[in-house]
Amino acid sequence: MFQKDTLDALFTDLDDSFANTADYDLLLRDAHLGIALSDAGRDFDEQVDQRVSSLIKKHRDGN
Amino acid sequence: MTKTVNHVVKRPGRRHGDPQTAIPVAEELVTVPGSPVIDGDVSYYSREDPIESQTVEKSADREWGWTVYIKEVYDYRKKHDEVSEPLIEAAWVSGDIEPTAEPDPEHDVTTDISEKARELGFGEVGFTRYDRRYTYASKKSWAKFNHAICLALEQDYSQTQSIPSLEAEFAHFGTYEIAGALALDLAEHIRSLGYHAQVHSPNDNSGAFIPLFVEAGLGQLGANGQLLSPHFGSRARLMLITTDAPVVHDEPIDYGINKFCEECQVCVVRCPARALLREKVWYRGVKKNKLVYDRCRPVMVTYEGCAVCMKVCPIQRYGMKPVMEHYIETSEILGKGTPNLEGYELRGKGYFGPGELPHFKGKDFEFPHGTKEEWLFEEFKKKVEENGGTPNAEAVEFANELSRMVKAGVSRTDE
Repeated sequence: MFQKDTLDALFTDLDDSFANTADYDLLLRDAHLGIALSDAGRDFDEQVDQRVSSLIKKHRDGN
Repeated sequence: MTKTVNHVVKRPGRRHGDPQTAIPVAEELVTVPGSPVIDGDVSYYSREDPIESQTVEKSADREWGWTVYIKEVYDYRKKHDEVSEPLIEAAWVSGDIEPTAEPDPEHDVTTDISEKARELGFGEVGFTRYDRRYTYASKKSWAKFNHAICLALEQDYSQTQSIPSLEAEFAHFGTYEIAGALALDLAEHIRSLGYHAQVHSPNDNSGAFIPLFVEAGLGQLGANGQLLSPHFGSRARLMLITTDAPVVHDEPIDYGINKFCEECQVCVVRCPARALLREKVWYRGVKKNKLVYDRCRPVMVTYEGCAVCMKVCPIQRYGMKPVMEHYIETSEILGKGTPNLEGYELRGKGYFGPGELPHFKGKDFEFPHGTKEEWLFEEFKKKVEENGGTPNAEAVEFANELSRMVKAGVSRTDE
């Protein structure tokens, strides 16, 4: 399960990479949904943007 | 184990032009379309003890709030009131403005108004009878027309997730400012179709809006006391336009929320003030979760509007469709028990993860009650009791302060 420090790092990463893009709002929504599905032990690849999916996996797996 | 789906609710997409969304409702979450209501009780209470605006009946704590806000919130709220004032004034007289065209009886005004509202940016639009039983006592003679157009404007997603914060207050009040202006445009459009339109300003509410939104099928009442709509959950700001345009009324819908909230309870257990009650009660003819105002209000005022109950609602965070799909597939509430959904920070108190709540002292919940006049009298009475009599100077001070309040009358903003 994502804990606070990992969540902070993930969202900082998301901001650094996409905060100035037009679809940032959608990516942020996807990030929350993907994290929730990941926390529930479910697959999230098909439900969220690929960029977000990669980011979640990176932080989840500590890479 | 996958749960049985009872029905699927189809709704327009989140933004104008987005594809339709389909929300499955599990069999075990089915209750009634809209809210459980005893119609006779709603009528009785409306007649014998009509509801009233907080600005009127709780004016003592509204005034007190200004003395508690941190400087940034105080300054922003002042600015918000300045921006809102002309919108409130324009809305106030909007019902008296005559239509600018002759009505065309062949024209589908329901679709026309709905389309125009979506084009303007309103995320949810619905139509219902304007039920005056939910109108504030002080606005009953003001409200006109028999049809209600229910309009919800989504507040910024990112800012909302920062609750409680100044940033989130920008989203909260900023959305009301935008909605107030957009509604004036929509009213003008309705007049161009040949009908009257009265804008019920979101900055000067005319009554309880949620029951009308529920009747119009735009969502159901959540355990946090907010409308849970399909795309935004509680992250929407609501307002009304009433009209004499012959619109077709929508029907209430069972999204499964009445039962879902009983199982979820995240807002109830995460409320920093412990102000939300676990069990539903019958109140004024409606079965609902009631909040304890005396616990909610001081925390709300002190901590940038609080709204943790909005932030931690899974329907707000993820949308109704994925949450209901997850429930059907796993019997679990998406996000429940996780830091991502349940974690929040309170200024000066730190971070609180799942299972952790801030502590407050008894005096943190002391604040003025009732109207300003009632509170003034209570304070005066206390002084008389303490002193065993009435010093002349205090009696004069009481009379002067009362006189000031009576002369000031009722303000439509908080000031």
